[in-house]
Amino acid sequence: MLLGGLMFIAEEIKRQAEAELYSEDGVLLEMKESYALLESGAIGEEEFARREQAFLGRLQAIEARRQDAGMRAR
Amino acid sequence: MSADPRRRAARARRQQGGTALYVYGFIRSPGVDLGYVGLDVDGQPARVHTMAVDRIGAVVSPYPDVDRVLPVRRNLDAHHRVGRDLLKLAGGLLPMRFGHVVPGDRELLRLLAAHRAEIEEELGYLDGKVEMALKVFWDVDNIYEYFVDKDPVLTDMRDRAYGRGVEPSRQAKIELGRAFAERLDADRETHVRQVTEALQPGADEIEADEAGAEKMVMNLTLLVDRPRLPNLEQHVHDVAARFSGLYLFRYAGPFPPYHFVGLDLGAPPQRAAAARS
Repeated sequence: MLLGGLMFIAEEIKRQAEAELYSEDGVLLEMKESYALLESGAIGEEEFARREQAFLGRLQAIEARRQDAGMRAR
Repeated sequence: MSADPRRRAARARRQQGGTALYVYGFIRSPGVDLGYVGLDVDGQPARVHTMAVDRIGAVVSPYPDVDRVLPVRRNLDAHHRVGRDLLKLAGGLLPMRFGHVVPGDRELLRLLAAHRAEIEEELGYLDGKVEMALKVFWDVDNIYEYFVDKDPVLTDMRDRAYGRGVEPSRQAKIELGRAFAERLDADRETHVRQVTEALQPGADEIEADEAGAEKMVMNLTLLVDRPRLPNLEQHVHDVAARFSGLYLFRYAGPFPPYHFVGLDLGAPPQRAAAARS
């Protein structure tokens, strides 16, 4: 495979990974799923609290990116 | 400025100082007051009450006019607590999923009037029914080792990749990972089919959602008429007995039938049965 092709695939994988990481709807859904796991007893309080903090961090990052994009668009 | 029209509209309403309503669901009792058990407003649980059009009551509490409600523990707890309280009322409950905010009284009453036939139909269908959750897990320490050890193809792939005492190539790791994931999904599909078929006679509807964790085999939600709960429980016990001790069954409920509501307040009114299908 040509180097250009490999670069394209790497870029595409990175783009998809970022889209997943920075999808607000995706994070909100994961938060609800995490709560369902807590309710079913599949994860404990400690694990749930750790996850919730991580989700809130991702939401903050999404908001920061959105504001950053808004600033650049002006 | 945000390109999202929902965000723009919510921001405009906030600037006008509007108070919105968080919607928990719809019931056939127009005058219910559950007290201060709702989602927090300014750090305090808000009063949950009904706003009615004829016999249909929308169960609401005041909430800031936001474009999203964060599904954090405190909010989810309050939403589900209200749902459980409503489930105890007679006459049917049409529960809304978490996070539904309507801009204000007038908009809520407009939606209620517009979707009345649909809401009535859904209330009739869900009357007396509850939701049960069945989650099954592989109860093993290391799911990867468990599958690789029991599957000769995966065992062979692993031995070829790692057996020479040198670090395997990236490609070999990717292929092994993919084969493992495929095997995991194939097992899940088989088990979901087995369990769903076994539980079908005991439930009105069964929904299989995606497994939300690597060790989760299945994530089923079952709709059942309350009087048939003991019968469904027996079916769950019977099917669980067909699995080895390496499978952990977690059966929980009853919950309001969130998963089986076809109503979409954001969509044009339609027949509820059509929305469900």
